[in-house]
Amino acid sequence: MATSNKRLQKEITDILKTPPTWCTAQVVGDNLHKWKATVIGPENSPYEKGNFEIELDIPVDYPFKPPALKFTTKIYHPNIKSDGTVCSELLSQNWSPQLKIFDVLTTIRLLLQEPNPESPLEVEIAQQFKNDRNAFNKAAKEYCKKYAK
Amino acid sequence: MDFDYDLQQQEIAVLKSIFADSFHQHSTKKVVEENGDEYYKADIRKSREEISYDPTNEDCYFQMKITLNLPEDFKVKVKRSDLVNNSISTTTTTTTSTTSRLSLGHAGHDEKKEDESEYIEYAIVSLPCLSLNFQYPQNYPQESAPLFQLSCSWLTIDQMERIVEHLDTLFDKGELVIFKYIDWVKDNALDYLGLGNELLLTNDPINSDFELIGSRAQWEHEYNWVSMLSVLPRILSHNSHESKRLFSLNSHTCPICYCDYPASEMTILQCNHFLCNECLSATCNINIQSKNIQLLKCTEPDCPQTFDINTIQHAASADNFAKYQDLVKLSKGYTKCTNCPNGWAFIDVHTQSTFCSNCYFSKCLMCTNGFHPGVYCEDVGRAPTPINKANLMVKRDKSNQKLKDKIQEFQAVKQEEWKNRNFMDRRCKPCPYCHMMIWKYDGCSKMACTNCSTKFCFICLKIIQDYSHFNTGTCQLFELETPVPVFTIPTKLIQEFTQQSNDCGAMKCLRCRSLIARYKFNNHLLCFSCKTEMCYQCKTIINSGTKHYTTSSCQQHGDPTPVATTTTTQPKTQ
Ligand SMILES: [Zn+2]
Ligand SMILES: [Zn+2]
Ligand SMILES: [Zn+2]
Ligand SMILES: [Zn+2]
Ligand SMILES: [Zn+2]
Ligand SMILES: [Zn+2]
Ligand SMILES: [Zn+2]
Ligand SMILES: [Zn+2]
Repeated sequence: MATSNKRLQKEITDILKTPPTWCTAQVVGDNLHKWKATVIGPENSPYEKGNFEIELDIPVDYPFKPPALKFTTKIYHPNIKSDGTVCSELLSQNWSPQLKIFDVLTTIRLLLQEPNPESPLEVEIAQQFKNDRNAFNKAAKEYCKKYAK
Repeated sequence: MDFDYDLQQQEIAVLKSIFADSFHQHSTKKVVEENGDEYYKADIRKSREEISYDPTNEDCYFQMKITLNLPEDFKVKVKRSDLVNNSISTTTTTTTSTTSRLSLGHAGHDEKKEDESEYIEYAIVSLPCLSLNFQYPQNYPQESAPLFQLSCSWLTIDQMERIVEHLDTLFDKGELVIFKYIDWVKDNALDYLGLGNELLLTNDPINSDFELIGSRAQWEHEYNWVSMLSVLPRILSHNSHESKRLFSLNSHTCPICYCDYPASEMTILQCNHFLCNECLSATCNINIQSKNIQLLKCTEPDCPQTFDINTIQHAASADNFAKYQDLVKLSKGYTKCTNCPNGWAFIDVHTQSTFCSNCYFSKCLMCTNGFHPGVYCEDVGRAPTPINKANLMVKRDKSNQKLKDKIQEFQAVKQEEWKNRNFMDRRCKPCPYCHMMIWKYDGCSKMACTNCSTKFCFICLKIIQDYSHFNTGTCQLFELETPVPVFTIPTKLIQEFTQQSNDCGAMKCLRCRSLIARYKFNNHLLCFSCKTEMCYQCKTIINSGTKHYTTSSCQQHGDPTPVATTTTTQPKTQ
């Protein structure tokens, strides 16, 4: 607990001091273990210009355990469930306690840029991504327009 | 002259006091034995010992071992293609830039990318020393410069000669110059040679037999060195030794908790990355508890160095270390035997059973009874029935439409029943770690036990860490069709069927003793219980893929017929 609080305090200070251009992050209330972040959809992806809100639940074991993520903005993506949950494996597989919340957000952005249809949470979207990219892009864009303002 | 001598003595005294261990005196002493034989004996004195400077002894010289100052990001580079056939095994630090420090797991495709870079780079904090050997002429420093020679293992003769030439320009008459030499070599030589940030070791052959007599530059090499690349192991071992020594001198900031600790409270890994002992313990204990043993590794993202077993033993609690050793076994396809206290049972994927080599107990993985090949889990303990035989025939007789329809109808009813039933079946398997039965209702074959969160492959019941298992083995991440349980066929159907089909004979499985029926006189039999293949004719086990019927006297179809009556095989004449 001591380690996680010290880390989180420093991380939020660093982010507020030099805010990144493509994301925001803030602590919810005075609970250091709950964060709210937004990631802007990367250019040249169907999510371009979308604002995706993400809730981060940071465990007491942080940074030895990764945070849990949930999209609160609806998104059409093979690796993100329709209820917004992201496969916990995504982060836990290659997690290192040296990684920060900022690295987690970078990973999310990368996932928007390059979906991974090989280990999908939404099997049908993954099939479409593989077999009919145009239809996939179209649907993802529509969702983005409708929900990710 | 005496003035020169005094200055010389002065310089030696200062060098001695400042450089201590890296300053030596070499001299050769003539020894005359009683019988009149003479020989020379090399005498090396470190500055810790008393150095007696004798300006008249021409064989006496001083040696200053200079450690060059390197910039923080200094690297030694070698061409990957030069190392292909070389077997120097060391952790490499590559500079492939990744946009995210956390790679998106699932498959190990990131490592491939690194392999493609043209150079392998090694981060280096210290290079082996460069030696400055010098002697004073009698009129140094008033008239002449000192006589000197350089030697080094990782610079070419040409590079050293350029340094020598530059050192010559540093001498001004009347000034003591050795310090100036040392300082310049320490701080400026690399930049001067254009090696400011990196040293490239090429594999161009060097003829080390050829040594320039009287040259003031010497390549320090071993007899079997062929190129500058040969020095790489020496550089790497020197570097890791030095970086550990340097590390131990200071306190450091832990990259995880951001606290400062003296080196004694930190652990430095073989890759030279480090972390504090507290964070090391937390990493070990937490990841063992959540069974992520693949994360027992250097915490630097992208560094592949794993913790060695001693590190884990020291850092983890005794309980967790025992657990860790179990997990390693489990990941290799073993499970704890439930029949004896210390045994480990091997999991046989094909038969879905385990075998303990300690107590010889074999267990069915579907129902946890003793292995019962040839009998359905539900039927264990009941009187045997000829179900297998009928099952086999039904499965194979695709031509019998009437029977097929009946079976389908029967199975449809059974499946409907099955959907509503909640008993153990093929979709319910025991966790290989805690034996809790886990029900798989959808999703991929990578399962996590709801009881102990062990991750395992639902198909082969091995403990796995990531999805790579599904890329390499035979197990599929997504089963293409929902597994349909095999249903027992009622006796009425069996009787009906056995009347219809000609009895072509049956035999007991040579391995598990369950009854196998021969179908349409095909002598190649497959046991549906244990998947063993055997020959009906010679009653031996045959391996799939062997050419039993082309290499032995057995025929695949029919019963052996006497040789004399083989008229039917003769070609028909028109
Ligand atoms: Zn620490
Ligand atoms: Zn490392
Ligand atoms: Zn046993
Ligand atoms: Zn069973
Ligand atoms: Zn379990
Ligand atoms: Zn498997
Ligand atoms: Zn058998
Ligand atoms: Zn045979």
